[in-house]
Amino acid sequence: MSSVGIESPATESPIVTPAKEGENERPPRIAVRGLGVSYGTQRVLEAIDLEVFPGEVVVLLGRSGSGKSTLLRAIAGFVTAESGSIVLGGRDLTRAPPHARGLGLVVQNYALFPHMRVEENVAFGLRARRRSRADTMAAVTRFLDLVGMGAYRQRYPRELSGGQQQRVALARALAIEPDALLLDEPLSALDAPLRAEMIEELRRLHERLPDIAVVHVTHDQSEAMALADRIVLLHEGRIVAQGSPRALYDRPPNARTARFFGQANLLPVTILQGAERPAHTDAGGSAWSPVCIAGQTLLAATTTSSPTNGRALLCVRASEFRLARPSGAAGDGSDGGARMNVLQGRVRSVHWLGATQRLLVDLGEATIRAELPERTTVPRPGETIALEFAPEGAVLLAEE
Amino acid sequence: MNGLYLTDRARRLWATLALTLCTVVFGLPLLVLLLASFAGHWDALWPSSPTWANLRGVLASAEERAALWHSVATAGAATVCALVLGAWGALAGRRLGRRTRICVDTLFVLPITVPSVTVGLALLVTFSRPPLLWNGTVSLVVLTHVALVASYAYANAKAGLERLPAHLEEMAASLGGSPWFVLRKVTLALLMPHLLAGAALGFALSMGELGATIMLYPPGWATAPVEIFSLSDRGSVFSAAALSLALLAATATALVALERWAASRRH
Repeated sequence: MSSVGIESPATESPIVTPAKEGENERPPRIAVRGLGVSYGTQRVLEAIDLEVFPGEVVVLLGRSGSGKSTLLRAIAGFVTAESGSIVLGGRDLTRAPPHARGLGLVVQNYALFPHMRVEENVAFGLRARRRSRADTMAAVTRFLDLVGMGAYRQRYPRELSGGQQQRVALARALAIEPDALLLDEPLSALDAPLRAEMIEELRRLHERLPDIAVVHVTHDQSEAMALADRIVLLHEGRIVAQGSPRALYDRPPNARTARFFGQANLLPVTILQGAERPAHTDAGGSAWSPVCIAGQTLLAATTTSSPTNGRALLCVRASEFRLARPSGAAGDGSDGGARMNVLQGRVRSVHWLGATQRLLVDLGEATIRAELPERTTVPRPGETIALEFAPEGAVLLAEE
Repeated sequence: MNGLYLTDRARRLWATLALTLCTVVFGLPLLVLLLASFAGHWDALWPSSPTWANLRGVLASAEERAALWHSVATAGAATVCALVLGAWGALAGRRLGRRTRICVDTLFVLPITVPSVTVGLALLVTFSRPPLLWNGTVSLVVLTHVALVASYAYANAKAGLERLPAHLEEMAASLGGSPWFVLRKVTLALLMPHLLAGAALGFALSMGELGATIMLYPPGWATAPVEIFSLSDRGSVFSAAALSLALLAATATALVALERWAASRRH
């Protein structure tokens, strides 16, 4: 679960990390190849390759304008593919109209039909398919019960809260038993507590429907982390990275990804070559490389996409830092795997955030943002301190 | 709401003045018309000697009964055509470019910005030469009314479409609805209140249309307004007033029936 796919002109094609073992043997529910989309003269999606397997939750993550919603709308058939192909359930539906695609869609503002009762909303897709009345009613009951809205079938959408409307929208999308469920920012209109509740709800739903493929679009990284088997990070119409949430968090393949997840310090470093301490691979198979910042030498974890010489960026999460024991000397490499990196700097400011203390520490060449557990003895601004962190928590990335 | 700061006294004074003016200008003539339609004599300031004779006379006259029927039939047919045309135009307008759309807007609005007599004359001269020999037909009357009321149907349909909640039609398509299914079950269903409002307005206007109709109505298809005009022209003011009342009643009945039908569909 640690391999990470990245896509940039400089590297090889992306390595997809399937969520669960053996899923590659089943054909993908959604296979997008080389998809390009333009609005007028503006290219909004470029060479997108994406596969979604049965039972997999893929989250398309990106800022607004990254193309994530356009990708979803292209899969749904509302946006015309300029190049490439979209294969759904084994059929090439690149040019098919939306109603011939058999996908369940849920959007941010729910888009329930205001003139229909809850049960008519859920029945809509089945009526469009001319299912028998008995089948339709059975499906309506089943899917409304599944989302816990069985008691509301006679209500009109305007009589429901946002969360309830979203559940009905889910039931309506699921009732057509789609090849895949497409969720376009489904939780963005909900307030924070309700959103957390709906995330749990979606997870439970997925446990009860283990075979369905889900594409979930969001700009919220915590939502993505909580729900995704695989995250696909988009930026300016391209896939920047994809992999499991943990892989992207622990070993981001590039600075953009690092910046997107958690509070990453991206420190400008120089890779040390040759004599001093050569790059090496330890017994466990991890690769390490010595780097230098503000005259201090550190050990960094490397990935296949890490640079091997010159300038680079060292990615260290704010939560990786601890105050070094006053007597502790800088790790000199003599004590093997247990060694710690140590950085010295001057405290610029301290903010209490409740669970943690946030320190800004000036290194001269860069400023570190560190979040220390609340109970640590907190240094004062102006003091010179030593922060330590494990080399495993420092990943070497290419400069942008 | 109270943008103007007036004392209560001043407010009352102005309100009384406005109310009086409106009553004299709008209310009084209708009241007099009502009185006239039941009047036996009108020698003094007010019509006098109330009687049912005028109304009975109108309803007994085949000519005037026919005029009422012609109005209802013309207005009904014109309203249906205008509704179809207006809704179609508004729906198609969404897919058109900005310029074409402005052209469509203008086309629909043109007939009501031009004096109705002019519209009548224009249609008359256009359709009175071969191969467009269409004058002297009922269809031309209906066509004229369509041209005059389609604007309201179009404007209402357009306003309704603009208020259509975002994504509903996309959602319906994505759930498997064919374009025709989506149009019927979602677009038109949600547009219905707006279409009905446009229909009611168009029907009422068509029932009262005189300017264009008088230019081109064929013999044997005088509408109620035409008949009212000729009655009063001949000096039969009481009969004209009684026929006006009947026209008013017919219009109101039709609109109430439309509203009832709409309400029954909603539940």
